[in-house]
Amino acid sequence: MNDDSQLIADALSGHYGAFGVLVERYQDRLYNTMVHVVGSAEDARDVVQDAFVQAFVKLETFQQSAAFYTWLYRIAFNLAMSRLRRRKPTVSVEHARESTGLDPVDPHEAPDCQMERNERIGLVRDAIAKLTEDHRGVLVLREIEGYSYDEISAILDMPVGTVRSRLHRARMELRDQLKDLLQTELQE
Amino acid sequence: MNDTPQDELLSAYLDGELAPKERSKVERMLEESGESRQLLDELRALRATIQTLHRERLDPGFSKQVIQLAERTMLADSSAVGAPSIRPPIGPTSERDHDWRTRIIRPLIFAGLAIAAALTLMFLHPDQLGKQGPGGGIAREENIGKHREEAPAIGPNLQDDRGSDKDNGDNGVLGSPTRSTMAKEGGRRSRTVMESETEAIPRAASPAADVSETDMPAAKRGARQTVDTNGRVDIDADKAIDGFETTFGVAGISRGRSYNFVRSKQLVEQQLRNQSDAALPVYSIQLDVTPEAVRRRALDKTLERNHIQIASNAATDKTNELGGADEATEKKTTQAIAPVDVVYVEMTQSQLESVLADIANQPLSFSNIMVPADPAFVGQRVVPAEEKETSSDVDGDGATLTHAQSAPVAESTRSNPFENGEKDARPKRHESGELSRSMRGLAQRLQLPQLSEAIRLNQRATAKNRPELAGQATAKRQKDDTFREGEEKAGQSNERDAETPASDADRRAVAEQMFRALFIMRVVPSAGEATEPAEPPAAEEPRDQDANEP
Repeated sequence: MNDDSQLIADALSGHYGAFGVLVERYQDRLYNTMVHVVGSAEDARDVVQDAFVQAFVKLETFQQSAAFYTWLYRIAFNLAMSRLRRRKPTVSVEHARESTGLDPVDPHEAPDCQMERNERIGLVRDAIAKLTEDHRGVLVLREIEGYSYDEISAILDMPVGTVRSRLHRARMELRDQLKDLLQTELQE
Repeated sequence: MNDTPQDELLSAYLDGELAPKERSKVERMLEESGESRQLLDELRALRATIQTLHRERLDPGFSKQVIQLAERTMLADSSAVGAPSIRPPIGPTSERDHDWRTRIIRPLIFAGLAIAAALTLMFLHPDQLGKQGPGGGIAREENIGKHREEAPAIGPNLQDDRGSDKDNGDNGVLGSPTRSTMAKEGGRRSRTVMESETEAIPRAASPAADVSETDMPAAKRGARQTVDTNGRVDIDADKAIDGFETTFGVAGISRGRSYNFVRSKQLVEQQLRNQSDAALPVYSIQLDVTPEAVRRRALDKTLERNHIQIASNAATDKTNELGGADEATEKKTTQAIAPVDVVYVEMTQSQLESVLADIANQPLSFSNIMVPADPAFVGQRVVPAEEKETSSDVDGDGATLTHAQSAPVAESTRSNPFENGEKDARPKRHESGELSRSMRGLAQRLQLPQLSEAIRLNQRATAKNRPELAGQATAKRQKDDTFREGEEKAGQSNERDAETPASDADRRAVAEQMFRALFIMRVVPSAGEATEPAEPPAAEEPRDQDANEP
C-alpha cells in the first residue's frame, strides 16, 4: 500500500487530517495546472477547491486502480471544462490574461527586464488560452504536468494516437501564434 | 513543412514517445530534411518557453479551508445532525444511511463529542464524584472505592494547562464550568450538556451537588473555579471556534443553527499524555432522541428505572413530580433544548444491558442506537492487574471490586425479550479485547448496530474493492433497518414492559464489574416535528407519549 493509499484509508476511517495531507501534497501541482486550463487564477482556485471537496466526498468510490492524483486531476479537469463552458460567452482572452494574476516580481531584476519577461509570459498564456479546450487539455497535461501519452490517454479517456495528434496540433497552433517570440528565442 | 502525420512523429520524438523503429525513421528524416530540423528546433523552443511560466502556488491555509468546506458539504449532504427540513422521519432508514458519509460523519461527530465529554470527566477527580452525592447505598460506596483506585490522578501539568486555557479565554470544554453528580445504587453519572444557545436549561441546584473546597483534594483546589453546581458544561461555540487552532473539528447543524466543537488536536493529545497512569475504557453509545423525550427526561427516567439515579436532579425531579415547578421555569426548560446531550454513566454490565434494552424499547423517544464494538481508551496505558489487586477494599469488608476480581454474574431477572440469549463470560480485567467481545455480544443480543464494525466492514470493502464485503456491510445495514422498522411497530407495547424496575439490581451491582459509558444523545426532531420550520412552543407540544412512558 503506497503512501497515498494509506492516507486515503485513514481518511475513510474518519481521520480528516489524512486527507489534509493529501490536499497539501497535491494542491499546488493541481492549481498550477488548472490556472492554465481555465486561464484564471481565481477560477483555478475555485476549481481546485471544488475538486478536493468532491474527492473527499466521493473518496469511497475511488477504486485505487489509478493514482490518486490522476483521479483527482480528472475531477478537476471535468470541473474546469464545465466552468469554461458556462462562462465561455462572456470571458475574453484578455480578461483571462488579466485575471491570471501578476507574475511574481524578482526585486533584483531590472524593470525593463521584468516588463519584457512579463510580456513574454503574457503572450504564452494568451496563446495557450486561445487553444481549443481539447488541445489545451492535452498540452497542459504534457507540458505542465509532464504526463506520458499513456497517462494522458487514461486521464482523458482517449486513444494514445488521439493524444499524439492533438498534442502535435496544439503545438503547431502555439508555434504559429508565437512565431516571432520563438524566432527571437532561437536567435538568442 | 506542413502539419502531416510525419510531423506528429517529430512531436512524439521530442517527447521520447516513439518506438525504436519510428525513432530510427525520424532520425533519418532529420538527417535528410533541414525543414524537419527547423521544426524540431521550434518545438524545443516552444517547450522551453512554456517551461518559463511560473509555478503557481496556493496559500498555506488552503488545505484547512478545503477540509472545513468538505465537512460542511458532507454534513449538508447527509443532513447528519438533524436539520428539520431535510431529515426524513424516524423509522425505516432511508438511502442516506446507506451512504458511507452518514456512516462516517455521524461517528465523527459523536466521537468528537465523546472526547470532549471524556476530557471534561478527566478533570473531575473521582473523589469529587464520590463525595458530592447525598449518600447512596452500600453498593455505591463500594464503587466509589473502586473508582478511586482506577481513576487517574490529575497531575499538575493538566491543571496548569487548564488554568492557562481559562485565562486565555480559550476554554471550550476544558476550561468551562463543570460538575459531576453522583448516582445511587451502583450507578454513577455526570451530564454534559452542549448548547448552541447561551441560555441554559434551568435546573434547581441541589445542595447535595455543591462541591465544597474541603471536599476536594489539594491538587484539585487550584481548579475549583471550574466546578459549579449547575450540572452542565456550557460550551461557547463561537469562542471555541475562534480560540482554538482548527486542527480537529466537529461541526454539526441543529435546527437550522450551526454549532461547532473545535478542539486543538495538540491540546487533546497533551491532556491525554498528562493522564499518565490510566487508560479508561469508555463506551460511547450514540442515539437520537426527540426533543419531547428530552423534555420528559426520558433517559434520566430510564436510568432511574434501572437504579441509576442522579443526585443533582433529585430536587428538581421531586419538585416537578409534585407539581411544584414554577410555570415560567417549566416553560423555559422546555424551550431551551440542547442539540446534544452527553451523559456519563458508570454502571455494571447488567445495568448497561437493562438500560440499553429499555432504551431500545422506547422507539418513539430513541432511535438510531449505536453501540460501539470497541471502547475508546482515554489515557495512555492500562493499569497493571498487580497494582489494582493491592489497592482496593476501602472499607475492609472485602466487598470492593477490582478489575482483577471477577465476580459471578447474576442473571437478569427483568422481563426483557432481549436478555434471553447467552451471556458472555465476564471479563476479569478491563482489557480491550474482552470488553469488545462483551459489548459485541450485548449489541448482538439487543440487535443494535455496532458502530465500529459497520465502519470497518464498509472501509474494508472499499479499500479492497471486494463486493462480498460490501454486500455484507449492506446486508448488515439492511438488517439494522429492518430491526428499526420492527422496533417502530413493536415499540408502543414494549414501552410498558420496560417500566418494570429490576428487583435485584442491588445484588447484581455488587457482583459485577463496572462499565463506563457515554450516552451521547443527538436531539433530532421526531416525525411529526420534521416538517416544522421551527420548534413550536413547549406548551403546544403534544404530550401523548407521556401516557406510555413514566
